[in-house]
Amino acid sequence: MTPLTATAVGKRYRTRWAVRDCSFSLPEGKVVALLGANGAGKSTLLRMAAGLVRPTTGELSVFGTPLRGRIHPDVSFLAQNRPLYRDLTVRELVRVGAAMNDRWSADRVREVLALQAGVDHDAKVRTLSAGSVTQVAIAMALGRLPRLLLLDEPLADLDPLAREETLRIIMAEVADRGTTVVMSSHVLADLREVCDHMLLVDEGRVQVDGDVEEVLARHRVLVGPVTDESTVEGELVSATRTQRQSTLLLKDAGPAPEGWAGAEPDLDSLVMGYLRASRERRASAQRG
Amino acid sequence: MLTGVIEFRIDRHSGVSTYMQIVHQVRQAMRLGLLTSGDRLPSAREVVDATAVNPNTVLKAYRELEREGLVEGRRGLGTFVTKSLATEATAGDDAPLRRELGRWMGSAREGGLVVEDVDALYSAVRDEHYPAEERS
Amino acid sequence: MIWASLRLQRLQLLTLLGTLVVGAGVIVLLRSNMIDALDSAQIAHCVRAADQCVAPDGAVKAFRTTWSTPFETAQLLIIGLPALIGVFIGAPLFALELEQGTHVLAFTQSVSRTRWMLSKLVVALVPALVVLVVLQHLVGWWLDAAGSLGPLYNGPFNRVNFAIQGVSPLGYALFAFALGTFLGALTRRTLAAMTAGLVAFVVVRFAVSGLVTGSVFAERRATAVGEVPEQRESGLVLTTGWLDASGQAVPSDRASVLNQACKTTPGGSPNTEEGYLACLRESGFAQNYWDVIPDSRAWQVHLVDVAVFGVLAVVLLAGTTWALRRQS
Repeated sequence: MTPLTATAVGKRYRTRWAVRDCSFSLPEGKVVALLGANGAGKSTLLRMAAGLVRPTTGELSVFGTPLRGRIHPDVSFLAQNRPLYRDLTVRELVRVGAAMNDRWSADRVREVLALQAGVDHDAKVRTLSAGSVTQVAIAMALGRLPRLLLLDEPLADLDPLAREETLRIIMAEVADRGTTVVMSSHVLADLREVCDHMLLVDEGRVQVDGDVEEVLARHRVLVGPVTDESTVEGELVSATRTQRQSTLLLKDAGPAPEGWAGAEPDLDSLVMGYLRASRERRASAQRG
Repeated sequence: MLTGVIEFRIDRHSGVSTYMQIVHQVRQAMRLGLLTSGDRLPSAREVVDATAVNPNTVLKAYRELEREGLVEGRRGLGTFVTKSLATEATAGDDAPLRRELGRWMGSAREGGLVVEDVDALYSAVRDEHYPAEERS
Repeated sequence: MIWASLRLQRLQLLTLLGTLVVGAGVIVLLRSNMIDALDSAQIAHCVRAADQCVAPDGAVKAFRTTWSTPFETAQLLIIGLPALIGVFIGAPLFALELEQGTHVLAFTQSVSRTRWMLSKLVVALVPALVVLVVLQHLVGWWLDAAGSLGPLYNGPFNRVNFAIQGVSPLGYALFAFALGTFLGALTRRTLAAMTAGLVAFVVVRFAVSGLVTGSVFAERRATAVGEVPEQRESGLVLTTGWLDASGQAVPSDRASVLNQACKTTPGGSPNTEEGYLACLRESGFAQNYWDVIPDSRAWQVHLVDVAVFGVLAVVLLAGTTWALRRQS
């Protein structure tokens, strides 16, 4: 049973579509990177998956159950602004979590909080560092013993040490419980090394969806003379050209023709290629 | 209590994928005799605790090593090294070739060579003897 | 869930508790001081009927001068409490969560939005109402002890007395609270909800009064023209006028023209009492009437009052539910 399935999901805010016609199905037990520029629709997608926002069109299912305006019991959600009661102590906050949930493991929360150095359980949340706040928020999310963990920009605003600690908490959850994790980020470097599945959205649409290795293996970067692009086979994603040289990102490319050099792209150039392509489409659409 | 014998060092900025780094490091440790038959590889959770990498990646690397016939997963127990890649020539501090190289390094240093010089010399000589097309 | 709501309302609950303890202490103290003052001024017996009692010269006047400020302060407390409950407890209840985004935390736990909302409402509202009712009755107990030497002299339909008696304060508090929560859920801004809530409460509170709607309880009294009633019962007189021979009320504009005409003789000189009354009878006026709500029915008017504000509160709470349901 797939943790999260979207079928033609769209969300319109007044006149603007934040997400449109999104269809995908996430594999179980994977770490999914939800990538895209700021405002690409990542947060809206996650908030819909968490049952906070109802889609305007289409339907989302979590573990086979269609969402009906409230969170699925097996899902935990970390919002981008880390909403926590700031006047409560960590201990009180955890107790609030217990009070608001049918299934709750205080042990799990304690365990997660113990993974990091020194969050004082009697400290008020407002006195904690950004890193500690994120980690407490994640600990609260894990207290629900989720099978699907939705994290909106979990690493934003964290210093390198806190980033490492936070990733360790998330990865330990994957190792211990086989939880499926969806993490969004507008900074690719944050997720490059930890994801095994990617979902690239831009302009509210899914651009790339698949296992990272497989996606990379299906693409080629070809560099060759600008005058002779006709010999290149494959589906052109995007291209950058100088006076003499073309750099092409291709999907399902044929072998590199004479005079061209080919290589598998790295994740950065793949993502950049797709984002550039969608930006160009948008620009040309605006020109009419 | 079984504990992993080695620890992985993951360099996030090397451009080499985590998966490949793990495979390489296991192979390397086996060649150097740090890992021999019967040793247990660190569990995914242990690797996560040490390096915060994706446990799925660790398991994938182990599957690759298993496919190469270097290790074997035993249900509920962990992943174990099944053979030894170390030879007399590479394993141990007093292997003859190693001692020879040690002497060479010693004289390079005495001769005033800096580490970049040594690396350049080493790679040049290595490439002479091991042409690129022969390497895997 | 109740524990969570209690913890989140801790500041407000402690403030309420403080208000209750201090308020009750002060009222009990003032009441006992006042009774001592009545005794030492030898006017304790005037409490029943201040107008008819025999007392040392100026003692009643002096007492009233000294005690009017404490009385007014106590009345103001009971009149003001509902507004304070609306502003400081109702308005921030959801606005603060929406403003700080913590509703997202609540909405992504197992507890349903409805249960979350209800538990917050109950935990915030019930203690506030308890404190209000207790203080209201303590003030009532104190003012009763002052009897007609105090504000009760003005009767239960005096606007201030009416506002602090019976179930009316409960209705106002319920309404103010619901108004605050609704505006908070709608604006998602604590300060805006507090300000708008206060203004809206004051406006509605004065525009809608149970005294107006309570006129269904008015009873018509009438005497023949020229006859003086033996004793007018105490109550709130809403209208006065004349009835014609068939018992119908004479329209007031016509009545005042005729009445004016009867005050002078055809010759133009002021009419005598007998002439005036005879003129009235000839003009078709048979009886004097007045519509009055007797003091004894005040409790019914309070019920109407609480019903009106209660219905408004229910509508506003339904609005709050709606606003929170569509909140994402």
